[in-house]
Amino acid sequence: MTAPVEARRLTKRYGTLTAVDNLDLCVQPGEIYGFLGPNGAGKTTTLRMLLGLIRPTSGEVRLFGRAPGRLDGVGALIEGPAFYPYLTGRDNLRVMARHAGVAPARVAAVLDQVELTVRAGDRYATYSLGMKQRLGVAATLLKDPRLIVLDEPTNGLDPAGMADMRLLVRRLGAAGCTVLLSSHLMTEVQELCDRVGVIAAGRLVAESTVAELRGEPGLRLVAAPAGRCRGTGPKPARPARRPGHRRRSATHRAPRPALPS
Amino acid sequence: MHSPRRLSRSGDATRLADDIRAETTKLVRRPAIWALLAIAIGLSLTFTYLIPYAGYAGGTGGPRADRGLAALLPDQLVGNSIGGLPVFLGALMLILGVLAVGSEYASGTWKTVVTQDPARLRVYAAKLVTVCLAALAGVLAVFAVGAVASIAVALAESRTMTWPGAGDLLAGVGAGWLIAAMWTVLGALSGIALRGVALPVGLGLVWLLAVQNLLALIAAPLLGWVAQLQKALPGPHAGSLVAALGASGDTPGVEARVSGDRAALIVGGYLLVFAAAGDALLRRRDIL
Repeated sequence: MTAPVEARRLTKRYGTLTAVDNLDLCVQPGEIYGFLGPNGAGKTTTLRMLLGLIRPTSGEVRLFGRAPGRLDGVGALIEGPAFYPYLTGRDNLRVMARHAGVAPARVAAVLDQVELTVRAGDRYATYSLGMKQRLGVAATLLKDPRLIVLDEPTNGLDPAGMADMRLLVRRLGAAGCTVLLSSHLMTEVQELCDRVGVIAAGRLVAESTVAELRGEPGLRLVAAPAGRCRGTGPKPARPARRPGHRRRSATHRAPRPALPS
Repeated sequence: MHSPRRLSRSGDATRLADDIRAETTKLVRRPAIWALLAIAIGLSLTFTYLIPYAGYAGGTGGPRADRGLAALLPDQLVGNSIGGLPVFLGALMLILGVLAVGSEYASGTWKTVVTQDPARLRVYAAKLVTVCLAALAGVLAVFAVGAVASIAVALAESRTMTWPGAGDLLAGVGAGWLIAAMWTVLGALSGIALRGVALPVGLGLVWLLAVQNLLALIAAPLLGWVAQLQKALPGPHAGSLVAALGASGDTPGVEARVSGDRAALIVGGYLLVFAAAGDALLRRRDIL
């Protein structure tokens, strides 16, 4: 099976500033991959290049083996939701469904999925940030994607909103969707992801499974670009979770090795 | 996850039709667009009919009061309806284009649209089709309101109503649409080039309402090369086109510098150039 996301030696320069530097990334089918890094590390720039919103200075991107810009089967929420404030949530999704070539009947289903049906008839301008984020996720689901790219989807949300969003991501993962999730929160990627790549100053500096990240040795330092996507073998085992039971937060855990900065 | 029912993927035409419907929803539901239409109708009605009629009826003795009643009657409908397009109605059309395209940058919605997998060129084409249809609707509305106003004047003054021929009406609507579309597409291009709304609107208004007039009234009479330059700019050609179709030379921006046919060709050329430039920019540049 072709890797949902494959980037090789991806570089983006703005004048003398190198935003992303020779980054290699491979996301396996069905996994929830955490893209972890501080603000300004190059996460959003990388995701934008993956989606064809911005052109790489050099390097190569493939989503499901296809050239960038072809997003059939891919949903994305980049740098916060953005919709038309004068339209209702439902009409915003209808507009996006038209652009996606998806039947408007799909709108009701995705509104239900993100539990926004009750407020779907209200103007987007009246939504709380949490509702806007959920509408953003709903838009990513319109095409029934095999890959969802979420750029810091819990940014700015209150604890309840964060919990809702994380539950939604888990559901997507459980439904077999590949998720590429960027975040600057270690606890978030630990809670949600199967594998984690750490980006700093535009470079992928480490990559590991969440089990490794939680304290077991084996965090793979990425000193040099890996060159090519590894095989498409089975994804790492996701930590077992009891239904409805949230994993303890990282602050309750034993100390773990610090990630490279 | 269940599979959504996809619309026909038989061709780009189907997807383009979907994009046009999406763009139409955005445009029709946007209150600012209706405000623009109301302003266009209000300005046209006020300066083409109400104020001239008030001058005539009140016998105020203004410098153009002698222009009188004849200019307000139905047979002058074509010229009266398109006379504002070289300047003030053109400015409103430019704002329409900026709003339709530039606000996608201002509100960050380009990324939401593009990640739904439509080709950028197709979305851009859908936007141009939609704003050009909106421009046609605006021109038709101005004609309709002008017709009602001229009927009211004729009835009030007990004059016989003579209407322009169907050919003249069609030519007038067509020319008006061509000019309106040109300004609208220029607005769309400005929105893409400057990636926003405020600056393109501001610069567009300065160009249309100030610079064009300064060039025509001050620079061109003094400098030969400016006079030559005038013959290449879109505004003067729009003015020539409406002048050829009966717009009054008293209207700002209306002056017969070239023939109507040549003016129509140049305006159409500008329309295509603006559209192509917008496409080239949109395809080449990053969506931030």
